[in-house]
Amino acid sequence: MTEADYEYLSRTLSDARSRATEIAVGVRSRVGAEHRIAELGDAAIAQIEYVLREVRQIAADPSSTSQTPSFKSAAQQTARLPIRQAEETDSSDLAALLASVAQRNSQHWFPAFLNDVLAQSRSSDEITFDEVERLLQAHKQAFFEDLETARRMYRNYPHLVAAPEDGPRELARTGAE
Amino acid sequence: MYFDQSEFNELATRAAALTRDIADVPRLLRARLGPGHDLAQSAEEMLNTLEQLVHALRSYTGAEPQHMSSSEGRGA
Repeated sequence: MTEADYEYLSRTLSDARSRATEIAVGVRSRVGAEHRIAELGDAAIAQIEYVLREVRQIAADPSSTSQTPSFKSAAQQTARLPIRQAEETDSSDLAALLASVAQRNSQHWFPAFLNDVLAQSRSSDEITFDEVERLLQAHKQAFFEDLETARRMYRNYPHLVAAPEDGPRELARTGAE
Repeated sequence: MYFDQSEFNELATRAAALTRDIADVPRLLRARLGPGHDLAQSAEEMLNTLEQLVHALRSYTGAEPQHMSSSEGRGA
């Protein structure tokens, strides 16, 4: 995760904790602390606090998230894997294309998409138009959700984006290519 | 106990706005850490609990059971 991600998550969750606490106090004063709605409010606060604490812990010690690959390392792996696989099939044009894309942006969706297509073809020994379309649609949806998140981050906290090419414009560019 | 529907509507509106504003958190954590990461799943549960809270506030009529089951609304 980037520093801007941590900042955004920390601010959003801190704000959410305050707002959830106000709501929970309002609920309790009306229905009593033992009511199920009040307990739902308490559970929401506890979960927000837990996520906030974990995010801060990961920010302080990024290695603590090693149980699953980080976004950056996963993106680097997906950028590397298709290139190696393309070389194995002696498809030098494809390898060159992937290398070019990966060199420009290791988080580009295209190498990750091709990697998924190749993984699918290996696992089922055949690939269909429907399956490729489904995979492409999934990558497209994930891309635009991520883009929308980045836009909201930029709108709410523009100062967190150090340089224009690191922010939403970069995301928009990678999708347009 | 005194019951004013408009107060619960107001609380439900605030809770719904909070749910909308925090919806990016699990999405971002999923994208950055992977969908199987504990933290991404905890964030998903957090969002689910908030959605349950919104639903409970909207449907509250002033005459509901006082306790939730032990498995409901519990997360992290």
